[in-house]
Amino acid sequence: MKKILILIPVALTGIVGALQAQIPGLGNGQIHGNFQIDAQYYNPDSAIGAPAVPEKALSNGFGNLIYTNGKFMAGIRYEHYLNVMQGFPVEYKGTGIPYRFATYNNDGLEITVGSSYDQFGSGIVYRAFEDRGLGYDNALDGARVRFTKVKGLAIKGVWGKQRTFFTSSPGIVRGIDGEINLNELLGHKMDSCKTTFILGGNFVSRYQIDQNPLLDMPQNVGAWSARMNIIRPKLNLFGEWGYKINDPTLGNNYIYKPGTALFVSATYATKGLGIMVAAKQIDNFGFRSDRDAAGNTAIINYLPALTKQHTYQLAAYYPYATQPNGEISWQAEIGYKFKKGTALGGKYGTSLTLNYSQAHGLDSTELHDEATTALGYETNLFGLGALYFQDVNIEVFKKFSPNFKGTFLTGVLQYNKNVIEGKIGYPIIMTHYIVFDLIFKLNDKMTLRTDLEHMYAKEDFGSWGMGLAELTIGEHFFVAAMDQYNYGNKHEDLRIHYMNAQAGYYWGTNRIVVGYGKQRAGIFCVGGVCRFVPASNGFTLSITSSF
Amino acid sequence: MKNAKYISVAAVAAVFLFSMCDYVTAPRDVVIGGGGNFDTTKRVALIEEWTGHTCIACPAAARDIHTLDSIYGESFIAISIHDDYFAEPCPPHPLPNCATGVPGAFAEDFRCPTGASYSATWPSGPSSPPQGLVNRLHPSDQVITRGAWPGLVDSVVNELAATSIHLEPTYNSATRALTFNVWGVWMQAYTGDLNVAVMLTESGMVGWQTDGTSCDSQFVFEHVLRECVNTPGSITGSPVFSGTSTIGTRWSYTLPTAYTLPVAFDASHCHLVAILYNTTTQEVIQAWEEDL
Repeated sequence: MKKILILIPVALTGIVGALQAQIPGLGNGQIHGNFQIDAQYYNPDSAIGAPAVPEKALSNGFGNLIYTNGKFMAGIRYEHYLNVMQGFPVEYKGTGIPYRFATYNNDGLEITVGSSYDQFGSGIVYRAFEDRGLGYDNALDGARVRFTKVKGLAIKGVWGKQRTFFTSSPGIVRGIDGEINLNELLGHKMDSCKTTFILGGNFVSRYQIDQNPLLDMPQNVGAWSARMNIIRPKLNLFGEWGYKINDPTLGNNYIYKPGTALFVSATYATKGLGIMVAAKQIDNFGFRSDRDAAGNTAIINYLPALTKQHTYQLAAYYPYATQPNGEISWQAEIGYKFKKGTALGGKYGTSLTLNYSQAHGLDSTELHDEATTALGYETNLFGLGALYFQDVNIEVFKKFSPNFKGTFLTGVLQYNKNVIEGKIGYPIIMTHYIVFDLIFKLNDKMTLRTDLEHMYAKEDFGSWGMGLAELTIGEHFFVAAMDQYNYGNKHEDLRIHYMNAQAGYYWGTNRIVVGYGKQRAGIFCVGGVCRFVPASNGFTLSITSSF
Repeated sequence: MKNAKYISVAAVAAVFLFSMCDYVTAPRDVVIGGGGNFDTTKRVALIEEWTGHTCIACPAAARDIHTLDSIYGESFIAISIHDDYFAEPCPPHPLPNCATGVPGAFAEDFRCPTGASYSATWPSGPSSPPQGLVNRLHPSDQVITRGAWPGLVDSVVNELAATSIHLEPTYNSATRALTFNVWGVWMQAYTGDLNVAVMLTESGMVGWQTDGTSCDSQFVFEHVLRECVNTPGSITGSPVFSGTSTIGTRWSYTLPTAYTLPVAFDASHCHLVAILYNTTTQEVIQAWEEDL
């Protein structure tokens, strides 16, 4: 965890724990909470493209308060953006309580009023969630009902409007999801069956008034999916197929073609061996509660990226963002642990992970039918379009002695910047990256971690090198220093060192981290959802606490 | 089966929800062309949009603007702001792949200081074109995407105007000296501080444009912002009114010093756009366009 904390800019990090406390006067009620305040002082730095910030310093913060009492739960989240930190949507402005809810669960019927997060199946049709690092929050404000009275049968329903910053999206979202666990539903008849069968399906409709005098906009847009999950002791097979009716939006350039999505995965796990393969095809399956929205706003569904989620800085330099207008992608990963005492396992064993992922555009033909049916294009179902992304990597974790262990990662990555970032004129960017992450336990109180990384690239900004040293002292304190050097930039004046230092102190569930230095511009992604982080130079402060 | 009733309820609910789908087979609502007759008592809709020759969705936005122009006629005005990344000439901007090896492709540069002034006022404007403003009816730092333009335009042109507006340009083709007088008569009581900014735009320039899959070397750029004539390099304009208006009274502004039209601009394709706006809210109260 500490590795991640030090690698991700302090202003974006936070650990949320939970410590229960009983408050007098509330009977058996309990209040939980967590808080986070991030602030940054910005120095203008023309060399790295960090602009002057009129306010000099900016701050984001939030506090959750959750009250539970038996079957009842209620909560609020206060947020402040004074003003919003660089890289987050500027629509976050001021202060407010955008998230509040009350839930009562009575004998298999759970009703929530107010804000809610949930997902249907894998989320390809409906997923409401938040990620504070991304500045992403599409909580549904309305009602949510969950029915679990019958063993093996779960039905969920949602009805509301999505959060868009401190307001609501203009569209209304209505949805229902049903899931049947055949083994549980059929009871004793399936007792001897080692295979679990789970079937599910959902339907979501969005209503948004048509105010466009030029086009006949569908006011009610429906999307649905069906899914199946087969689980054996070592094997898990999952598949979900989704369909969406005509939904002209800004994202698809206002075409009326129906959308489809298919996601399949298989995992096999036994002692010392894990295998995962997954694939998906998306064709015009962006789904929003505002047809005219852009960016990460008012998104109803979630289309995960089938790529390795790198945590190391230079391996994650070019992350993949899911392309809702169309992509075909797949990923395979094999994890194997060489046993202790073997030639490759050594005294402590060795873990090896091979990962391969690739994404392409669709093979499509433009119809040039703007004036008639406006379907936009036809898709060749089994064809592959342009390469969007490819990542092939190997990761080895090895413990050498009780006081020394390390991770080695290397890979080759291809990145279509024109598609993923919406740029023009870039070739496919190819990088070779290598990481040595070594942890030395110096004594009972001090641990030193060093992270040496290199990324070779000819295109774009060229090659980078990175070094990090992090010293943990006791249980409460750490200091770290990092330098990222863009030594391979074609422009000599842009061969810049991005140096950064941090120190953190934590006790109990409290944590304070301060930092100073330069942060390079880049793309920050979580699960295929991304935002651009501009370059910055200055002090950072992050305070988190929970109870 | 005892659980059948629950499944039946879920099935009925699903059927109910599935009916919440509107299938559209003929997307076009209107017949393009014709133009409307301008009603002097109504507001004029003004779109100020960010665009650029390497912006792949901008040709579609240009078609939308052309359609709106053909529907609403004189009640509709557009200004296309070429600024920032997507309007940079190539080089230094990377050349679109579809023009690789073509000398001079995408070398056009329609950027201007007044465009930069627009971007400074609405920083999110040039970040992801095509997007823009319709009579600036939005919070000061927000712009809207092109799908929302037609609805707002239709709404604005059906509203009563607070004031009439008249723009009277005078252009000397020999000296290229340009002056104008802009004035209006209050038709409703209005309270606020108003400026008038008179923008110079030019149409008919032919150059390169990409839509992401192909390059068009003969794309015709329309309504291209060139300059703010009364406050060059700034969209601020000049104060014309402050306080509360009296119906029937007149406001006016005359350019004090003639503006010299740069020789690079084709006067026969240039237009003046007078924008009367509230300096506090930025909202455009009324606008008008005249050819030189």
